[in-house]
Order: sequence, then C-alpha cells, then structure tokens
Amino acid sequence: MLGDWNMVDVIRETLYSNRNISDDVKDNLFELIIVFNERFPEVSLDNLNNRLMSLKIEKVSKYLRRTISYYDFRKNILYFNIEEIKKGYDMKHILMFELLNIITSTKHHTGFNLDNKFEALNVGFTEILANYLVGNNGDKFIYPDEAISANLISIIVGAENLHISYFNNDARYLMESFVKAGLKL
Amino acid sequence: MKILDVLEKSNNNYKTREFRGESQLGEIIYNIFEQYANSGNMSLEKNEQIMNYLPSENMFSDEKIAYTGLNEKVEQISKYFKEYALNKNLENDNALVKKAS
Repeated sequence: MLGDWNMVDVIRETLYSNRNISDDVKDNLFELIIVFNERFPEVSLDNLNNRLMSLKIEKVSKYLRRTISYYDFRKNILYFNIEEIKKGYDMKHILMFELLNIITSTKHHTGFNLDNKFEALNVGFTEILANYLVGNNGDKFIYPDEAISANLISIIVGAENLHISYFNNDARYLMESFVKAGLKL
Repeated sequence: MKILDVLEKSNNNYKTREFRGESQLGEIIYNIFEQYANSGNMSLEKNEQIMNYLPSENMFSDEKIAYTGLNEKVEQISKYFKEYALNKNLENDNALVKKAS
C-alpha cells in the first residue's frame, strides 16, 4: 500500500520552506520521510508537518550533551554532538532515529514515554524501528541495551501493541498490553 | 520484581551506564524473562524468537562499557527454555500416545 502522497507533497513544501535547515539536510530528511511513509502509511504525518515548519538543527559540544544526537520536543530543536559525529556513526540511521522522535512528539513526551516512566523502552523501540527502516551501517551500536530489552518485551507482549502505543502516544495502552500478556505491573 | 520495576532499572541503566562504565543488561533481560516465565503465557514459538535475540558479551568487546555477567544470565535463560521445550515435547508426545490408544 502506498503512503499518503498528498501529505508527502505538503510536507515537502513545509520542509523546503524552513530556512533553519540546510539544503542537504532537507534532502536527507525528505528521503527518510518517504521511506517512513511507505513502510508505515497508516501513521499520521500531521504532527511532523507542524514541527517541520519551525524545526531547528544545532550542533553542541560533548560537554553539553554526550549522546550523538538529541531532539528537544519542547523547543523543537534537533541537536548533534559535533565530536561524536566523527566516530563512525551511520548518520542516515541517526537521522531516522530522530525523525521518529519528531513524528511521535507531543507537548509532553515522545512515543509512549509518559512522565519518563518508559524512557529506556521508548529509546529501544525507536532504535528497533530505525534499524527496520534504514538499517545501521555504522561502526557503533546505538543504544544496544535498550534495543535488546525492547525487542524482548516486543516478543512477549506483541510488536503490534508496542507499535500502536508508540505512534498513538498511548502509555495506558502499553500498560494494558503488559497486563494482557500476563505481566504484573 | 514487577515489570514496571524492571523498566525503572532499565531507565537507570540507560542514564548511568556510561558514567559507571558498566551495564546491567544481563540482570535486566533476566528480570524480563522472569516476568515472562511467571506470566503463564510461555510458548515454544516465542521462546525460539527470544533465543534468537539473546545477546552475548562478545558483541560488546569493543565498547568502553563492561557487560560482566551477561553471558551467565543468558545461559540461565537458555537452559530454562531448553528444559521447557523438552517438557513441552514430552507433554505433546504423551498426548499423542494417549489419543492413539
């Protein structure tokens, strides 16, 4: 099934109108948005479109942020650690990871990570999705502990339940899935 | 330990392992497995999937973080699943024999 190509056209318009982002990053982002939309056509891109209007991309040093990248959903800024970039990461994978965070952002959290209760699981599931969508050709693992744990939980409670919870920002659905799988809260 | 406690442990591991220089992944996956084992919903199919994705310390040999104890925990889980599969097959065989007679 093809994605919503009208929405993709709208997003292209929005993205390329954003003066905060360089042309090559826009091209890379747009390519990934198409990949995402083709694999997950049922996921709404309205939120992404809104955020792309004013998204900023900034570089930070390792003293402010140790991880390779970080999306601040409150400020709508995507940060990249300039020292880490040189260390053999697959930047396509990293960008897809953060695109998923942008797509699933609300005013309060990303994915199903309500009140930071499911922070590691959310990171792990995002990493699994990024791997699924674009693979990882880099020299370094990205959040391996979290991806391994999320994968186990996904097998136990059902990947489709994590998927629904993640893309609908529904932590309650996640907890209900745990209960249905027989796990004690 | 309940699943929310395990996830809290996972959150803590995510935030602090680089600073501490060591990972609690072995304990975490064992705790997840315990939850699953106690759920009453084990199946051969899920067990096989889980077995395929269990990690090893070798995977992290280039990392600056220590994954001490991971292999031991994975071995415990593998042993449990093998015994489960053996018992399940015995149960199935007995059921077939009973049906045939």
